[in-house]
Amino acid sequence: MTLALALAPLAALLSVAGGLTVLPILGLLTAVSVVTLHHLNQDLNAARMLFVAAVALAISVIPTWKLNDYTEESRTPGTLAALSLALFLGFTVCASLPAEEAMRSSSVMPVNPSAITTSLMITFTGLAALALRTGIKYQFAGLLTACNGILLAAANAPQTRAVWIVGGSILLLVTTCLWLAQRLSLLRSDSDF
Amino acid sequence: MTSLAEILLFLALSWPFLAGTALRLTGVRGPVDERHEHSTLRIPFAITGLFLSVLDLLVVLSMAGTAPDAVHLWLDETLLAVSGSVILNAGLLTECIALTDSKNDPLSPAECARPFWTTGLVTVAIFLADPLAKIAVLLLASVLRTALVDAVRGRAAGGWSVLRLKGSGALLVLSGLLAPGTSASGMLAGTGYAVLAGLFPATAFPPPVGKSDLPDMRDAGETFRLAAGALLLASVLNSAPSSAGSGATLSVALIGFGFVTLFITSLRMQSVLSGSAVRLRQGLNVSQVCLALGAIAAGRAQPAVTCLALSAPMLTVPWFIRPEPGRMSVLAGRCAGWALGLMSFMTVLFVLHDIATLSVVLTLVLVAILLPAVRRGGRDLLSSPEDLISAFRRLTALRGDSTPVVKEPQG
Repeated sequence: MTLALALAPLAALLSVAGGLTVLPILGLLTAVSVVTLHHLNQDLNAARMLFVAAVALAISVIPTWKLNDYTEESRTPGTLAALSLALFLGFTVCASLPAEEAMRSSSVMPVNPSAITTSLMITFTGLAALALRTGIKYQFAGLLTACNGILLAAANAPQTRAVWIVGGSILLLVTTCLWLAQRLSLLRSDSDF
Repeated sequence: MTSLAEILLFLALSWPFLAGTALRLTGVRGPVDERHEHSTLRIPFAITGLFLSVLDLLVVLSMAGTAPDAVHLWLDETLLAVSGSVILNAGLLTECIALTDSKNDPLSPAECARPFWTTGLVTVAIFLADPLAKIAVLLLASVLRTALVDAVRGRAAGGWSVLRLKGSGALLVLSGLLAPGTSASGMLAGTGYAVLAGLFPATAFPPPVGKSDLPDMRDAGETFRLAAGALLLASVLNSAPSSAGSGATLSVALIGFGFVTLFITSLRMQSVLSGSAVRLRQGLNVSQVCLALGAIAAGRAQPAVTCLALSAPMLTVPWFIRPEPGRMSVLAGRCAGWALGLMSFMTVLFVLHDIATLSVVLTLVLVAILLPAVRRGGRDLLSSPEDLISAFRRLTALRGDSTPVVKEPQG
């Protein structure tokens, strides 16, 4: 368990409240965790590590930069519900899925068992924000948080093929969502409500 | 024989993409008055796709004695996958026949081509061997649909709500598949597949944002095919789980979500007011019931029952949602009501038969949930035989003078 891995769920929780502004920190933490994960296990190839880190940085930085100019409604309801759901889910993950269970029961070894719990916590936090927040920028931030968690889990998975498939589909999803978010934000600032 | 099967499989998988591209290209080239021509091409193309997949099914059935599961390099040709592709192609053909061009609201070339592309992607997703690749291709189909449907100005909000739903479902499935060996893996994957297939937390036909409570009709068939594809993927995954623990929790999750969806939909069917769109609303509700029954069958590892449950709405729902009320569509709607009611009732019997071997209490609960739904659905969907005969008489009496010749619907 590295420091970056331990701080990543905290950054995810902050992104529920703070939206897109916190996301570059989360992306940076995810990228650093992926790189350190692979330093712990030297026999994995460097290409997949670099790919995951690059995708995590790209999906966290580029949407924040692109959506910086657009405005969101000032009201931000749903924060409390999303935060409490995220905390509840994170607690459930920590309580019911200790890393040792994965080590004992699985035949295929993940790279780092403690990263499973962390990635699930990040994913659940993002999905809670995606489900319960209102306003497309906050929902989009939740989607990106969940994607960061999935990328961490994919870098942790033993199959090499998983990384390329997951990274590619996440890039595609985020690109389409960014396109939709830009159009929706434009519509909102045009119609002025 | 093996090489013939491989060539057939390749043709059946690549045909929808070729057909969609051809439709798109011919649609661009022709001027306005030639639009009729390219839209009539849809039906032969869909018939060809159905023919190829049926041939594929026959070949797989005849080879079942020698090589039960032909495993190619990255494709997995199981019987469930082939029958799923037959059902998807039949649904595409039904939608092409039912949603013909109307004069005032013609289909654009991209709108003609899009169902072929998304159906092809769902079929490829069913055939792929790797579970991660399956879900990635299914997500690609959703993304493609959103990008093509909601390219029109003013529809981005609906596209975002669809993509939000499909994205969260796909991310749940991915997180389940990437956490290997744990019992939570199957539960996460089951929840994700339930969200993708439009079970309880979501609905199979999401209404558009800020409009009436009826969903958008022109792409309802496509929405249903995507949901059915997710259910078929769950069925494939459940029949060959990665580990024993995750397989058990996956089936428990599927059965649980199926039961909750049945309960909610049965309640919703009671509250439908009788009005003009009552038949359409009950048809959509019965489709939701069929999805839930399919999920229960998938959780019980009964792929044949899943295919039956999916084929009932797939073949009949496009007839409910014809845009203009003509004489032909009255008869087609009545026949589709009968077909949907009877086929879904057969599915109910099969699922009951299967659940009865599991536990008596569950069977009683299922009967208690389903009885009001069957009663209400029978009252609203099945029109009286005299009504049917009079609609047919009106059609045959008026066909002589001026009505255009329309293909006879099945049902």
